Amino acid sequence: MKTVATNNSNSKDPQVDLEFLLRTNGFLFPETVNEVNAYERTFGDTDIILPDDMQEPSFLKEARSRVTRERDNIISLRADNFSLAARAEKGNELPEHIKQQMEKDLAKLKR
Amino acid sequence: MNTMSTLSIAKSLRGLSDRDLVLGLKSVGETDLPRYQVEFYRRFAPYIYKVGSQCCQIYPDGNELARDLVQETFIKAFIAIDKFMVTVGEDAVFKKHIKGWLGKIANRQFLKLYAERKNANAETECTEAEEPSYDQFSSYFDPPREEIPSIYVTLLREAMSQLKDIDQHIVNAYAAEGCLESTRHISDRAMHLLCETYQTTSENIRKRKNRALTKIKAHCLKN
Repeated sequence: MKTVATNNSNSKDPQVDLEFLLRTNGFLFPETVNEVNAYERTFGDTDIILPDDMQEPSFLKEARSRVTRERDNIISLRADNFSLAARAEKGNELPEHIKQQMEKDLAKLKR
Repeated sequence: MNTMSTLSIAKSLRGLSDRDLVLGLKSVGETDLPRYQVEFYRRFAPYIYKVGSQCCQIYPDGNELARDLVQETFIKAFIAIDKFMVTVGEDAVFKKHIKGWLGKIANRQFLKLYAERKNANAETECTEAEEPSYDQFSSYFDPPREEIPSIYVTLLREAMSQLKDIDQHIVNAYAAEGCLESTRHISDRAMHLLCETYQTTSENIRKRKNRALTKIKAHCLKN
């Protein structure tokens, strides 16, 4: 556990947890219960009122449509790609390195 | 569905505990999911916006950045909700677990959004790196901290304000992954983001991080 500086002005070698300070003082978001506690001790736990245009999460509808479209693309592409590749290759089995490359390409599309 | 049914469903969701709301998010069908998502957003977006506004205030378009951050955080959160561990215990503590989890997501999105603003041409998605899991396991064993005197907060603010933008970004990126004061490397994803944004090498990023950390410590300790 890191040693934390005290209020004693005679302390010679204080070690302060910079990450903890950054996450509990508005530089970054707190990530643990302790950090949230420390943040709320400093800044309070009263929720602020969102601006009017943020009250409703209308962006979620668009995000849901995007995820659905991408998922459908991935499903159809996956089947098509494997079929095309299998027909192009001799035999019914795809080489492992081709399968891996196809999976990588689909992962890129997913993002 | 008539208005009264809609209102009663909305009211009933408001009466749900945070735990039941999250369980609902993980398990309800597609028809009811949007309502659960809206309720979750209503409960936690004010907190994310509050902290986000503080994180973003030093940037020229900080307000817009904070708004984008709220949106991206919740979009990612709903995608990752299946991996969120629902624990038993006090409701107040569980609420803070949710805030911590959202904070983890928000930190990743904050750094990514900031990078995109710094360099619109940067390839900010690292397809080779794994999607972060936003795992909360370690936070359950995080020991309580002693209170840190406020003078260090003041000194830290001064020290950070004296750093260049790139160095602040680097420091935040390392701190977000718990690597600031250790020899541990940041994730491939985070390093890729920084290298792409500033068109530089990982070695340079590491050197800048070490120099920035030295400056911060020197400022905090000499005063």
